[in-house]
Amino acid sequence: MTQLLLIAIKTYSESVNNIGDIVGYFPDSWVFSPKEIEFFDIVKVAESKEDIQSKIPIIKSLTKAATTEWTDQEPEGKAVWQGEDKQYRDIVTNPKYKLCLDKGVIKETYSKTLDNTATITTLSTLGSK
Amino acid sequence: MAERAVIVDPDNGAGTDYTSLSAAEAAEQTIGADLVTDTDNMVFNCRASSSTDDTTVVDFAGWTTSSAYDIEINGNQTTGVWSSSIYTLSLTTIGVLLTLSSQYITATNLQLSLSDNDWGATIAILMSTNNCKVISNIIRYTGSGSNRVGIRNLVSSTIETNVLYGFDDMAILNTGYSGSTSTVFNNIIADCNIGVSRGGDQTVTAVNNVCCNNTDDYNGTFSTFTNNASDQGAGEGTSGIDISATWDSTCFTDTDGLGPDWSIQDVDSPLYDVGTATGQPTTDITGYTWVTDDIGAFAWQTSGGGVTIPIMSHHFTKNIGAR
Repeated sequence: MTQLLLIAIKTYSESVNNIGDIVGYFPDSWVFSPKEIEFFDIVKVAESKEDIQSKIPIIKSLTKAATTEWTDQEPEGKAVWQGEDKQYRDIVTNPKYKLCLDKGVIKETYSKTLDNTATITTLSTLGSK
Repeated sequence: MAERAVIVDPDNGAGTDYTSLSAAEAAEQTIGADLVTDTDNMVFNCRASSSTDDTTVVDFAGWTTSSAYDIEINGNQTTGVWSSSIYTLSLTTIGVLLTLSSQYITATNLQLSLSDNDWGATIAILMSTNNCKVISNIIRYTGSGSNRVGIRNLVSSTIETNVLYGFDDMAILNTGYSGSTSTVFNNIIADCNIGVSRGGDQTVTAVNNVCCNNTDDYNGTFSTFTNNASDQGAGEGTSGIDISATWDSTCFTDTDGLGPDWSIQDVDSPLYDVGTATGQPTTDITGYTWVTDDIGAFAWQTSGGGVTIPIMSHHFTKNIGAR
């Protein structure tokens, strides 16, 4: 069992977070402070800490060469996240909290922003890890 | 103007406001995120009354601050040597441990630990907004993963008197945009792939740093690069200090097995009084005010007070000349 500390009505802030965002996850034995109990929702889930961590998407910095000729220009770079389908997608808006509890299921939050849903084409070797 | 101070203690000891820094950040932001309008200074004082680590990642995003109304994140390290009994922000998987996404945040006297064995980009401190400071922290990586970075700086910032070690990639990576200006002063970096790196287009001043046992101590072009020590060849940059022959047990000890100690043991240390006072931080990683122009994160601390004969002799030689 793991305890999730979730954004609640008292800690909701438009454009910063969403209700249900996971602020932290703690052992079943963790004792929260009175302020935490006041400001957050605390939910127990069956998943272990490792199970929860495994749901955080892999983030990578990718680069794209401007030319195949020798140049002093820096290659174009971008940050991407990898979804469960192994596709890499642009990170246009970085969510403050990477996971949320949505209808009892722990999910990543990158896809909640439409800006972050465009897939990009990469070399096939990228998807191997 | 008021100071809003809260206590973060994972052990929930007497007086605790929050048991994690991430909870403190989120809740206090709801109480008042616009410190300028409220004319407040926000202070997060972190401790661990029974030595439990804080294992939550934190992103300080969504605050309105200024140079007058800022945020301090204060740990309780005071020795510059790793301790298992004080507050530690710890990450055992991939990710970014502490992100500074709002301006005018100072992170000081913290211990930050990365220890995963995984694959994927992982960073101890990500500085993504201007005018933040990372001062007097101990930052380490003890796992066997790849692509681990201590401090990744994308903006104008100050990085001073920190100790960083064990990063398989880079300890301090500056990759800011053109026009951003950063200072990297009096840090000690060891056992990394690259010590201090400057990429991108930003202006980086690197002064009084000490790098040792890294694959590459300094990488890239710095706008100002003086009084930095390296154990690779004859020193690097202006007034570079060659510590390849003098880097020995007198300045690198680990007597308790908890962590290396790079404090200056005596006036014979190669780090003693070989730096420049220009831009030198006021105090070292232990809070001690510099007397001599030592390099690295530690000032030489005279134990008995007063000026000893070896120090007088050293000053005579340095400032007047050998006879």
